[in-house]
Amino acid sequence: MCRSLTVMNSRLSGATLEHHVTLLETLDRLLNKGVVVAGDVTLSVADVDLIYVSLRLLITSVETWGRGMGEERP
Amino acid sequence: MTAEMGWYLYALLPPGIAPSGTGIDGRSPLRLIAEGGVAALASAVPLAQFGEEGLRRNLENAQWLEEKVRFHEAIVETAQSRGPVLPMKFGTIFLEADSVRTVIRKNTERVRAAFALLRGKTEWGVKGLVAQGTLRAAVLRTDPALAALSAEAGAEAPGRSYFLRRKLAEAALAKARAQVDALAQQARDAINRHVVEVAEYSALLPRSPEGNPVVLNVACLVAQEYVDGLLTEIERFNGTHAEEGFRLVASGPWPPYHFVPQLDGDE
Repeated sequence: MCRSLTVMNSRLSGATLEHHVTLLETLDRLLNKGVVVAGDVTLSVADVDLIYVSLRLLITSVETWGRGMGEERP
Repeated sequence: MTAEMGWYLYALLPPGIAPSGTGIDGRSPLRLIAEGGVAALASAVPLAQFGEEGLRRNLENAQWLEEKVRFHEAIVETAQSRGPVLPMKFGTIFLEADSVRTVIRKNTERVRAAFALLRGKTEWGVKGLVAQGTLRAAVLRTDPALAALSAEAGAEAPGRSYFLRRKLAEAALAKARAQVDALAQQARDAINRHVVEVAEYSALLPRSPEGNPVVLNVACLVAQEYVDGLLTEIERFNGTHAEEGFRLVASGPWPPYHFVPQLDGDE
């Protein structure tokens, strides 16, 4: 993926922040937007709270990178 | 197709070059399911993983989800490099290819109109972030009334000074909030000069990893020839407002997830 990010003066390194922003933006789009087919013709994940799923994955990712950056583990 | 397989859809596109590569399961080849001048980019997936029950279970697994989301996105982006695409929402699975054809038939005009709108355009995300401490300091420095109040608080006796400091803090907060709104509106106006369409929506996470609140979150549909102009405008904006701690972060190009039509399914 090729992402152009105008990121400055971040506490996080550019690569880490880019990874984070890219994942955040990707989840935001794929899990919450895109073409939806109305009705019962597709297998439905409609009753799964995809926003909750996205948030959990993001938090997991942030924690993983945090550890990679030398933060203390609980 | 056995009873244990379904069709995972990535995007709708004008029919053309047969896709190469494998699908989201890492094994099945990408295929086009075409009908009446519209094709669905798809691959077979095992229902043990992608059926209702399997998918629900797998969504609990962060590693699985991140890998599959990246597969889905990479496949759509490859398709987008060749022409207009209508990206599907993650996890759109049909049991029969014939049902895909039926959906395409029912929505052909809508899909073709979207191809026409989206040709030569990509989606860009822009977030506005504010470093609150920096903005507050800028407001205290530049607002004459606040600067006067600050000087007065410094000169007064302790009791009166405490009262003035509280008054100053409240006034600075109100002023900073108003300034955030004004800057966000300026940013919207600056962005709007370069885009075809804008969708504003609430951010998934209300703060950046550094803890700065997201005060503006938009998806923009941008014609290819205007992308440089948009990015230059954003850099200029950031240069102008750095001292106020207000910063725009752009990401893209994305497939146009925010600018696709919804489709009718059932009869």
